[in-house]
Amino acid sequence: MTGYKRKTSADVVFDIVNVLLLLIITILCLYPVWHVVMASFSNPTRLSTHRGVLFAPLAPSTLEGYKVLLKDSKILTSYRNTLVYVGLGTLFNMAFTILGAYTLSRKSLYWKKALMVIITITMFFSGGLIPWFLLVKNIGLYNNLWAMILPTALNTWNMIVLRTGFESVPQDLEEAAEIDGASQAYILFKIIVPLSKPVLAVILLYYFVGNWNSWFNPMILLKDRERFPLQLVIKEILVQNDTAGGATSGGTQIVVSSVQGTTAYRELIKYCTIVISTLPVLCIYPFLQKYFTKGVFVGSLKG
Amino acid sequence: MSVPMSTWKGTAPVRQGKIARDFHKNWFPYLAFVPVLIWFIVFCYGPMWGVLIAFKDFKPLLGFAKSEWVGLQHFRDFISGPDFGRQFRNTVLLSLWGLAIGFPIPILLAIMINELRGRFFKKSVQTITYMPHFISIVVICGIIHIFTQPYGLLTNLISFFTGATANRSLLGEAGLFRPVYTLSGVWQNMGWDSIIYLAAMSNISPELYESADLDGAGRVGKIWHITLPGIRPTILILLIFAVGGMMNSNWEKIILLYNPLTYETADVFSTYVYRRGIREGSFSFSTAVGLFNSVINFILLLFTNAISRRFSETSLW
Amino acid sequence: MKAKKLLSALLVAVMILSSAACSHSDKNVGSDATPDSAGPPKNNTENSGDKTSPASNSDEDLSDAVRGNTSPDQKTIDAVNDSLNDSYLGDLYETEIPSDYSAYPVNNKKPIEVWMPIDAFLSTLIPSLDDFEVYGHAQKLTGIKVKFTSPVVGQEDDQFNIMITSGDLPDIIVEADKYKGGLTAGWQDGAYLDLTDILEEKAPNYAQFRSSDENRRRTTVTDDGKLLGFHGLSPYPEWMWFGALVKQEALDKTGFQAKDIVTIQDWEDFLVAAKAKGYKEPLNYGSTYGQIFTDIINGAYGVWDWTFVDDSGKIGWGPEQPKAKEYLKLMAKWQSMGLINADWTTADFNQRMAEAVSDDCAMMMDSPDTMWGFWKSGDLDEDFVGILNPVLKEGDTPQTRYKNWANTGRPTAITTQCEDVDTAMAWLDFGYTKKGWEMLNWGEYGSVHLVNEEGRPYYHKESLMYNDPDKQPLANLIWKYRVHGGPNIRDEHFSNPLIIQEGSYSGDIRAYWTENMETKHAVPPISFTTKEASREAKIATQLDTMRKEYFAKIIMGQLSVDAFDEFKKKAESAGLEEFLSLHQTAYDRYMAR
Repeated sequence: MTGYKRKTSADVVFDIVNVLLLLIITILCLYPVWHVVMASFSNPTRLSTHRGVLFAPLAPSTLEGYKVLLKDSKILTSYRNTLVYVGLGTLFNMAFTILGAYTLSRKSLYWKKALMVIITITMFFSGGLIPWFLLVKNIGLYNNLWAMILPTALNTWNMIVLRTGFESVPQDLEEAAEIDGASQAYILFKIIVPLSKPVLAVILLYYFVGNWNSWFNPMILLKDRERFPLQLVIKEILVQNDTAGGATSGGTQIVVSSVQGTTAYRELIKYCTIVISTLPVLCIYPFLQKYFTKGVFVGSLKG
Repeated sequence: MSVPMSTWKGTAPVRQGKIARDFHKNWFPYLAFVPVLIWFIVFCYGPMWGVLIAFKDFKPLLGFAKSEWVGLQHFRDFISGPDFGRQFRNTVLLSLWGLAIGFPIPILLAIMINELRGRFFKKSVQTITYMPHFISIVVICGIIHIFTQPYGLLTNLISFFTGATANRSLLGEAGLFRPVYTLSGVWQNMGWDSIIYLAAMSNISPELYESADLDGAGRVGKIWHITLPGIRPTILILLIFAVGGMMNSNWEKIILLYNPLTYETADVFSTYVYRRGIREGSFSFSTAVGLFNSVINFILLLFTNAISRRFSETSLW
Repeated sequence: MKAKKLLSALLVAVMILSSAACSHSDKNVGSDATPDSAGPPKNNTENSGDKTSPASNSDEDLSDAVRGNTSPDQKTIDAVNDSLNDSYLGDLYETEIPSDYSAYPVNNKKPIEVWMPIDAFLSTLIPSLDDFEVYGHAQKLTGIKVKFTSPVVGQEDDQFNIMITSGDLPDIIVEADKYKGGLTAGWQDGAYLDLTDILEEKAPNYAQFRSSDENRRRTTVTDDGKLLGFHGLSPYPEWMWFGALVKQEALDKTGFQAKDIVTIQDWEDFLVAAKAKGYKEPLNYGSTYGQIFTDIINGAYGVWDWTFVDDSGKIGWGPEQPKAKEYLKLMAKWQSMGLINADWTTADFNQRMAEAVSDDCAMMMDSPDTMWGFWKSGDLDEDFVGILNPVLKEGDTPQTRYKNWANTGRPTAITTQCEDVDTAMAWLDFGYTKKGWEMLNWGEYGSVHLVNEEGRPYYHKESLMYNDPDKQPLANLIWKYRVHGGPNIRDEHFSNPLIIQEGSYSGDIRAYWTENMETKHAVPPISFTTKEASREAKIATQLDTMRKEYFAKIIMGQLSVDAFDEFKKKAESAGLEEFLSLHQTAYDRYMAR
């Protein structure tokens, strides 16, 4: 928003072109979503042999896919689990990330470069799955709630992005507060954090989505099926592999599988699971959107 | 600010004084960092020894200590593969395409959305454009197959504009693989990737725009002189990371889209490791390839970071 | 004239199908020659209602009460379900299914822990295999308590590796060949037990059944003569499950008869005729399954997809055989004539099936069960016939490289951390007894299966298999009421409802293929040592990539047929010779088992 200036004709042209382009882009982006939703209500056998674009559910439309999913008692338990993991997990994520980004954004820190190098290295070099698993398990993070929270408490990339956000808080504000006698903690929580709401909102979104979609770690670290999160349960329902039933190419043992009639059904369920597992995330976004609008900037210091 | 090495000699007391003063002044930030540092040490450096699996013939049951040491054998095995050159080239080119096309577009999209005035339309555009990001890659590739099949939507479109026949499968042409792969990636992720830029833009002071208006700047001028510079730190940091991810590729997507006719342009390291893995699932081999990629990535990162530091204020360190 | 042709075509089809049905004749002993006839059935009242230890009165002859009984009373049902009595079951195969029940009931205190992958569909019905009724029933019969753990569906390999790494092994691992290097490596590294010395004593049924057939014996022992696991076995070589399938309608329209489509030339004539009749892409040339289905045409030229055993008993590599150029020329010609689908290199499974059900397709190369699911369900009712692989000259026998070795896979090992090895072996051994064969393949007596006159179990009309309360499709039910694959004797041909249900002819087609094609070129399941495996994997991946690329490009017309020479040179420099010698050595070791 550029204030209440009058629009010139150049402005108008710009706006029209902008809107048109965005309209096209939106429609293009809408299609895959529409495809998925329509497919989730379509007739299974017709769905798997449908070759073209999908604008409406293939008749006769059916709620069968959803029914199968919702009937599965595991879905409800896992939904509840996911809410807990995501809620607590994101809380810890934000706490750690804010602390880390804060420190790394201090301009006069002597060890800053060393710390940055230490953490950047971890983004590129890791020991791999097996050593990580052995360690995590040996410190007791296995098949319990903390296993879902602590090992993933930090995402280095997010922390660095937040650091960039913190760095852009004007120096004068901090200095002014210091002169006024404010403690470092006060500056962090009452100045830096409030002024970085947009970036914080984005990082929150990233962590939320990351936690929501997480299935690999739970698969490795959870033994009891009752503790599984939603995405893992869904992954089981969805057979992700080649639907062709097990034949592999020359040289390897051929596995005989004569069971392929369920393929059509599985196609349908594939789409239903996407809708069910993504819906909640899509609902979160509107709440965070307001932080991305301009003008969040809370007054500036003049003179 | 770190003390240059040249002043260390003979100034030890000064340096020690500097460190002591630093702790005195910044005790709070350091304290705040303690849990973070502990986390890194435990969860990242703890398992770091696993990198050495690349130099052994690792058998999980024997454990690390007892598994045989093979030195650079896996690396030699990997590099001596006849398709190594091709896979290297494809990996790099695919990433470069992604960088050249996939990197700027979310920025452009963010700018366009930012310039919208109608609140409802603005919100809708944002919400709809980021949705494809959540659709699983399997479904996206299924849609791509449908669009690119003979007489598919995209195939027809292209033949309409170029006059070529529509009775062909776009995915069967090696020359089309990179565009299809990159553009479909843009289609899926541009909305989601634009969010961070939108957030950065909302931090730009409205005063700057107001004074630009007073100076008579047009829309494009304001974008060029205010919006873009305003988000420059964000752009640079993301660019550095993007370059540092050059050797990575989305193998799942490639597997779903490639076929013998497009191996020439589509076969990358990760797909090769996958095909090898079907015959002989070797931890050590895949760790070695991963390490190889990571080293190159890291070097690229150092390089890009240095350039960024030289020409702007933004860099990782 | 047309009607007469149609009629004779139908008659031929019926004759073929019915002769196929009869030719897999049951080697039954005849229902009156029951081994233990001890007069009319006795009443053993002390055994009814006793749930913890099954009745072991195997001397009572239930044949009269059970065989041919289409509506058994509760007493009979209980007698069958609650005891190990197998007197009513016939000896239906060339080799006997053992019935040594001396180990049962075991009544172990600590449950045996079994790690077993669960089928995706089954996992939606029941939370774990502990709730799987068929195994629950088996536990009752054997008096063995078992606790199952299953990996997350679709992530079995990862979870297997994690399990091995954590060092916390269960007692039994199903699909033990996930261990890198196979069962041998698993034993060498100390994960699996060597059962060689104790097998006969502790698992007499399995020991007997595996050695009663040469293929079963060979595929269940390692190159150095070790017995390391329990393999899923079959009383007969199971039918091949893929081949050429032609729409009946296409035959009718073109006036061809299935029995006349024999040589490559016949195939071409038929496809051309079909195209003229409106089938725009008559042959659907499937390739996304890893080229297996294309072994059908190239086999006629001897240009097999991968390794094969040549006439002198040596291992050869199909793609480099002399007639390769002819084959490639033929396919390129067909491609340019529009006889095969233009997108065969890129089509994914859904696209192929979409093409199959469209009017453009006359012939598929796939599995009859799959095509049944698409051609004979929903709105379609497209009948189809199976035809044999083509040959070059009339009089040649159709060949196939696929052979079933009476081994159904899923090798199962007992781990070194198993404390109660005897019980573990007894549990697994049950799958190879007659009672195990009945209960695991056909589920519960009475509700799921009955027994016919010759002592063979079958699904009756009122069976749960055909009347599922949740109305699941039959393809799902084969997992729900029976064991579809595991360390036991699998009787696929008679217990898979997809094959035996009324009106289904996919079994007939499969039988027809199996009985009329020569399998002398099939390579048995050989195994490599770990060192060999690394070398083999590297060269094989390379050769595979090259073959796929060159062949695809030549057929599509992107390269001329002469590019084949370039391919051959490249294959040689990629290590073809070493590859062949590795395979040859492994093959020789197998034959020496």
